[in-house]
Amino acid sequence: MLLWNAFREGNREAYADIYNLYIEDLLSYGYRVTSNRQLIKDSIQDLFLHLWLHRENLSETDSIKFYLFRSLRNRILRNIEKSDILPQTAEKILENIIEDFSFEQELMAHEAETEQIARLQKAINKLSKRQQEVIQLRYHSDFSLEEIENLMQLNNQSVRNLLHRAISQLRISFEMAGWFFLLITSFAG
Amino acid sequence: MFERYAGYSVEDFVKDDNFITWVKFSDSEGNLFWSEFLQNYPHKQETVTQARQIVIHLGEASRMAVDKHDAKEIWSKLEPALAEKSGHSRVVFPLNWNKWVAAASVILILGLIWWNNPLKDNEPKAYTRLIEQAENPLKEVINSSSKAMRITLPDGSVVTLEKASRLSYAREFEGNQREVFLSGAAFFNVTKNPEKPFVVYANELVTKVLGTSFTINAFEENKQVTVAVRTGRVSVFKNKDLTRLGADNKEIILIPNQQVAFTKADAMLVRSLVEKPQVVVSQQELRDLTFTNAPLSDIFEALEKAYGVEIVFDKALLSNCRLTTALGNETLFERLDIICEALEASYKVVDAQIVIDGKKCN
Repeated sequence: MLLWNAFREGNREAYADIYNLYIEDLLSYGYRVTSNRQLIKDSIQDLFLHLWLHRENLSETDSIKFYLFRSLRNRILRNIEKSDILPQTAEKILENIIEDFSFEQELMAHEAETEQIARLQKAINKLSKRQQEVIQLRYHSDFSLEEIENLMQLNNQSVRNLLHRAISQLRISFEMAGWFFLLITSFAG
Repeated sequence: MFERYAGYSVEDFVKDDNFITWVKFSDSEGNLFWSEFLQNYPHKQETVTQARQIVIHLGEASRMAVDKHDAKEIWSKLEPALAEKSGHSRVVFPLNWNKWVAAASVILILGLIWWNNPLKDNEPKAYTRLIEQAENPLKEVINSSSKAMRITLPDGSVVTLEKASRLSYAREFEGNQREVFLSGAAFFNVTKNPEKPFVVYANELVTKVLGTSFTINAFEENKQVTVAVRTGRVSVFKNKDLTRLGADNKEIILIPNQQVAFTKADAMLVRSLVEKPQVVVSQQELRDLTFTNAPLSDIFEALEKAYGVEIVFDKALLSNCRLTTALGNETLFERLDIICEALEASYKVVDAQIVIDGKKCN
């Protein structure tokens, strides 16, 4: 709250602090929503530029994080509509770049736990886009179901269904892979 | 209370809100609940341990790895863009850079003092005065974390306590009302009990409800105390003297999407609409709100129904106005902006009513 208020009063350091606090979370979320990285970067730049220029019109917000996530999501969706590139083809090309990216992550996965997480990562990446998004918002970004409804513009039941299907699907992929002994025993039990 | 969880599988736990909150924030409330649960159902230990681990793993695995260069790149483009834009607009950076930096650091240092000090040394005065008058011993929850915290009260009501906020309440709600004391901000989802009203004391406002959900914003350093209603009906009283039962003033009744603000300077209660009114009808009903060349009065009526608000306009004057529009994802105020722009009209919010000021259509 203090940080937000200092920023609204025109404090550049508070602005930079907000940027530094949330930029990685926002990028991470952006990569999840679309694989067009340029579009994500442009959208975030837009968002922060708009934020500074219109800071006097901003109201006190309960959650800076929620505010930023929602603005970013809306911006990305708007920019996707505007862009001339066919989303499918562009996404395909850029998907590979992202793929390499998580491959690096995987190389670092030496210990058993990190390896498990890396595999879980792969399983998550096989889910539908919206399932991936809902899992990240719920389990990584710690948004409540209510906030997710608002962010994704879905009703309560749809969010629940989406989460339910995502978790079930993850369970199935673990069972089929047959490597994650912990999850197999646990999910079966 | 525990039976519900007795038959839970790992997967059920992984999806359960209370469970996730406990794993992620290990609040004292959750620790108590889940340790008691395991005492009652010791054979669930393994399931709970596994579900815990999966929730933690899901949190780590669902994060997309971030390229730090992207973060730097955006910032490096942002700075010149800001400088350029600011040069053209009224927003002018202070020329005396040193002075400006000094001012900035004062704000930041104050901020740090606030964050570093344990909240105990910083007892909010109004709040302390109120809880001193409580009859029964109170339980206090202080949220000094950086995230909102969920608290379940003895009657099953759920409070989402924002950071730097605190809440006190009796371990058992005895007597004829359920009383809680708040400093800071919180969202309340109150269980229905018409026999025992739920009463929140927050600085100079007393909020009384039978069963509903609403947000209170009462930080002592702020000039205003606000109560905003999501569902149900809420009565709000002024409590200027910070006495516990001195709520015999005139009450203001709020319905969903309305809020009231108490301004400390003039001790006035002002009713208005919340910043983002929520739709009060079901999504199903909302889907029918598409208009083709419809009279303005129909559109306003639909908006009134959808948001439970009152829109005041000159029916005779605007009787010829027709519009084609569809209710999308816009907020109420965005929607009104669009309509007013099309009609060359304007609107303002007066005492929780939306007043349209427009001219005749041809």
